[in-house]
Amino acid sequence: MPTIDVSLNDLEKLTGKKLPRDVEGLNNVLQFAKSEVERLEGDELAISVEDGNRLDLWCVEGIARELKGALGTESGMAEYIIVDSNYAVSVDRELEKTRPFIACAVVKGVKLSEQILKQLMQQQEKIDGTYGRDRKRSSIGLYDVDKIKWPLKYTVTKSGENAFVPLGFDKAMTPGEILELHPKGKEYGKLLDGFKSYPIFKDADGKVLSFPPIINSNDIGKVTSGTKNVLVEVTGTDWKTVRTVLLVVAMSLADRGGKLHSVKIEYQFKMPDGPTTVKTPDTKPEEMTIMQDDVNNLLGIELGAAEMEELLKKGRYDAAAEGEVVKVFVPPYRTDVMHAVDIIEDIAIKKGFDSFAPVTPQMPTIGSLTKLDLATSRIREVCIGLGCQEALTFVLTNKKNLFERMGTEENNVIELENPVSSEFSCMRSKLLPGLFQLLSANKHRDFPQNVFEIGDCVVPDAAEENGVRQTRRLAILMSHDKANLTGIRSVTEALLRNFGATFEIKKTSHPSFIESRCGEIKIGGHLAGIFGEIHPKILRNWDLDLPVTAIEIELDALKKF
Amino acid sequence: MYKLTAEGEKYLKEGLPEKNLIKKLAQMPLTMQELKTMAGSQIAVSWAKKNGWIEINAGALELTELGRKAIGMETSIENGLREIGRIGSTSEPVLAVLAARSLAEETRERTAFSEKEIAQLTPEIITSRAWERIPFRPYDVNAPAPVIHPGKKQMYRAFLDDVKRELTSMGFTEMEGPMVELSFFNMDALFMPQDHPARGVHGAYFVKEPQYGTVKKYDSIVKNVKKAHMEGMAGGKGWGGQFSEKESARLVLRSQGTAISARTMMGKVKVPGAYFSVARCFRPDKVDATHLTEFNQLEGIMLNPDVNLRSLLGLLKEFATKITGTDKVRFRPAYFPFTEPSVQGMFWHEGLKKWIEIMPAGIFRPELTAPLGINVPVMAWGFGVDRLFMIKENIADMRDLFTHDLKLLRDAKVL
Repeated sequence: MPTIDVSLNDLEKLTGKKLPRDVEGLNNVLQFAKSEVERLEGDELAISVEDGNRLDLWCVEGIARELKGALGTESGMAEYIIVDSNYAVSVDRELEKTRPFIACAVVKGVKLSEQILKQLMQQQEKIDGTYGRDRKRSSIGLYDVDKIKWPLKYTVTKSGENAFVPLGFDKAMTPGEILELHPKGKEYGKLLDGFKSYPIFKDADGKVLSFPPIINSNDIGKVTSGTKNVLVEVTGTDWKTVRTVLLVVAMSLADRGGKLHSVKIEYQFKMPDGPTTVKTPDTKPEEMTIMQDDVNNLLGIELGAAEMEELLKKGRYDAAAEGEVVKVFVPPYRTDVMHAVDIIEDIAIKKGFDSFAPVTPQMPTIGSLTKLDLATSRIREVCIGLGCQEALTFVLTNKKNLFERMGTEENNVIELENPVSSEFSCMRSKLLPGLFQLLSANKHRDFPQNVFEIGDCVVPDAAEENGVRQTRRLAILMSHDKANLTGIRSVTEALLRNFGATFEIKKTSHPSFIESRCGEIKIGGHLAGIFGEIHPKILRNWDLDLPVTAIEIELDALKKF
Repeated sequence: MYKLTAEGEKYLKEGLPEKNLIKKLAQMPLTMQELKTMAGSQIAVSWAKKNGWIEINAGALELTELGRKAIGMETSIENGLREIGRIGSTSEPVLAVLAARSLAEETRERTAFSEKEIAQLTPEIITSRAWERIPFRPYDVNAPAPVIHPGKKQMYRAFLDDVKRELTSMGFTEMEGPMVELSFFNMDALFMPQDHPARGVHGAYFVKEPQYGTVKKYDSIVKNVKKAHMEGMAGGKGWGGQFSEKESARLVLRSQGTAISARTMMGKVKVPGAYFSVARCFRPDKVDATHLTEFNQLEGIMLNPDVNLRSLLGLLKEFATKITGTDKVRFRPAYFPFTEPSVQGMFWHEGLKKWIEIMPAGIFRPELTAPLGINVPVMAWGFGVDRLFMIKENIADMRDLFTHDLKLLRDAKVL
């Protein structure tokens, strides 16, 4: 969830209401904006917004907008007047297959301060990073209107043409050079993989504004404190996302005193919702209806139409009750509203979660554990009765532990495509290596050291829908100065007798065990496990100096669960 | 009769090695490394540890309070050495230790009892009623006995057993599912759009080989889920965008317990019904004191026509009371892609004097339940049960839940 750094004074000024100065008090208010205090130090407030879909709340202006409704400073949908203007952007046909969409707004008279600029950058970063899917779905650009010659062109370029000075550099580079040399080019270049031509945003003089979604021009592609008139541009691959992001950024600037002016976008290809010429930003709300019964049933309360209307207006919706139905006007930036339940949740939030008295639900059901779980519990009891300490280890491990240290050949293991560390790079197929890891950490502890674990292991299996066979296994390690084959055979037989298994034990050889001191366990004719005395070579692999005997059994073979 | 061995004689003259060690340790710090070069040091360390005189921390020896006291006192073993030297015998438990350490040996065949007194009871003594005329040799109940470690449950698993028992007693049935999961159940069926950031390499572990499983078996449900994502279903508008069946078949390590709930709802689910699972989940995180790369989620669902926000809060409150013992709970709005409304339940921790966020929950979106064929509201939750245990047992390091340290495992109290 996004965390944003704001100034408490700034938030207070924008909200127009005195705010508490303590964490507890602030949390009580911020819950109405689905947020909470992450950190508070004097005026510096870090807010965690607990909603990954409410991009309108990922900036101080948006939180203030939401709080104004909740605290009663304003009611209903926030109003933004958009001055119709002749600013225009044309969109090249060739972009249809690559990065087709662009939406723009001009905001005049906003006078950017350092503080506002910082907030804008933060908003841009949060939205591009998550909602914009790391600039793939959408990315934001800001420009100084007074440096630009209209009309603008959102068009294409070859990698070796249209050189310009990118932000943070002092010499002109072509888009190709930027992708190769500029840090942003290296970071985001993958978004252009496979494109025959690159998107480029230029003004009427042919000067480059930016190379979306990579980098702006250092010349006419930046805003600074003191910039009065701002052009907001959003490009991307999803039209709805692009429009929404534009509106959210434009609203923030309008909340800072800017006047919104529309920009005409002329597309040379078919748009998802019809006309090829559109004016952005668009503040037209969407109309939805909710049933009063649905609200009351889902929340477990009895609200009247008037109360619902009032709560919706607190939530910055417009609403009108008509009989059993409430007509709701959803602000266009609320793309998270996909269903009536989303609106109903807002009613609950604005009513205050503290006002809902919990009711203990009736439980007309009888509980039970799975057969697997019950069987596992019984087996654990026997192991404990044999004097073993239960262990709980990780499912994730690595091939070195699974194979190399056990002296066995590498085979049949599920590896991770994106491991974070080499220590955890595959899933265990056996339990014994995990227990060896445990023993080797306890050389200085009292002996005997008898440990066991019951846990799940996986091996690849193409016959299964999820490509693996998952089995529940039991492993025991017993280490003391007298540990030997006879002792571990007694334990093995005691276990199998108590499981009620029909089993046979046969001599076998295995690289982890001493030749002739290792037996395989067959249950119902199938190989189900192994036991014996561990070879000193393996003990040295685990840095152990006392004899160790071991058992591992696949419990599924018992066919008891 | 007993006599001292050569080693016993030596110790009687020069002192016990463990005693000499702690005397030395009282004067200068020592590390295991330094000790390696000294003769007989292993015996000294081993006995000093057994006696609880020293502790070894990061290779350095540390004198305990007990060890400090022992320096000026005669131990039962020292006393035993002296007595054997003088009168050829000492108390039975001390004799046992001395014999085990090869410091003393019997001078003739050992008898169960002499005519003068009874030491170890034997069938012969018991049946002959010799105990009627011969007195028992006095034993010292204060003499040290060897430490033994019983086999027992791992402490965290024991806690999970308690949680499971509590839930079944409330009426919940346990459900299960695989650790390697189809993206379909781990994400699609939970109404997470296919381009959701949590579906990327930072949100879940992907299986290297095989990359894909198969969703063929679930054909009709996949169609429903696809529709819910792209066009909307059950009154919802859907995410729009793309939906690929290939992506549904992509194999991941289960990253959230809710995958099990999706499987359960799609199967033979009962209405009304209540289900839970303790699910091992995996996420690509660096391991440190507060993060593990695999963890347990206590996942559950309740399907009932009466499910609503207030009954959800009621259930969470009930859980908090049962599991943490407090009924001081409160709820805050939250966001999860699968639930609406969503809540974060917190309980007041008296010891830490703060609210602990531990109960994320909500009511499944109709776009999630309808494609699976469920037509009643379903409440759902997925608690970080690892953290719950840490808070309950005041554990600071999450890695201790999966500890390799036998001392931690052995020292864990069962009550």
